[in-house]
Amino acid sequence: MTEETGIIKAVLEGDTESFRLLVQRYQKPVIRMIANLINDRHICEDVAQEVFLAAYKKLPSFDPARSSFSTWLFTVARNKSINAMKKKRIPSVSNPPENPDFSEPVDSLIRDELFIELDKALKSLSPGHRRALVLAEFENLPYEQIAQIEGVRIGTIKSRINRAKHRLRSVMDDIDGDIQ
Amino acid sequence: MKDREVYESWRQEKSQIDVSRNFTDHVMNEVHQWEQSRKSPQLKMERLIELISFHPLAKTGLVATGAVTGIVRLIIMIQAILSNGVVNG
Repeated sequence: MTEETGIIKAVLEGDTESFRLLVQRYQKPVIRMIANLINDRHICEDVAQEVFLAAYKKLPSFDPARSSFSTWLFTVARNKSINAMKKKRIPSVSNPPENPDFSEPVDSLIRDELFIELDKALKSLSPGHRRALVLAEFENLPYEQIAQIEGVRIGTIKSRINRAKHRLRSVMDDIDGDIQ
Repeated sequence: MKDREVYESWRQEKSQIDVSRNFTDHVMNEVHQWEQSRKSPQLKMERLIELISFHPLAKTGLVATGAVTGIVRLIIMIQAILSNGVVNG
């Protein structure tokens, strides 16, 4: 029995406080995933709270034979993010990058511009493409796990990620062209 | 600056996230509150609805029961209308 399975078993047997360990372990990836999907840092923690509460309530239905706990939790987070996006249409406002390097002002400006355009491009992707890219690039999840979370074939995930990356690449090429 | 470098630094920025210090406590408070409400007798109906909504079998059973009840009521109504028609006719 893995450590995580032991924690889940303890929670299911009535040790509610053990759930804290799961929250502490997964809070960062879950919040990061939600933040990158819904583009609103103000509500991403509220949505993440909903995710963990829902996970606690649904924990008896978690089947370790079907998926890992992280896959299951990311699926709950995915569904909650979709609901949050439906409830609230979030404006595409980009946060400026933190700690710009002022030693290279021109490079820094170009980089800021590229970051803003990349953010815009990310937001302009269809929800399915964006989720695939976020899970692969920011969460570093393997394609197989993303396919499980999304409930589609690995081939579909590969294609979504390729298309999303192609879109980002074309944005970068456009900016390069404008600069030159 | 190379595109690859820019993309990597953008990716790294996106991978960074600050979590509120009391986030875990907030979640655990909600969990404990929910546990309390589970035990409270006034909220049994709410709990029943929650249980049904979280269990696919219970949900299917409820929908099937609703559908059967609807069909039975419809049959009774049709029967009543037909028998009235026969009596009046």
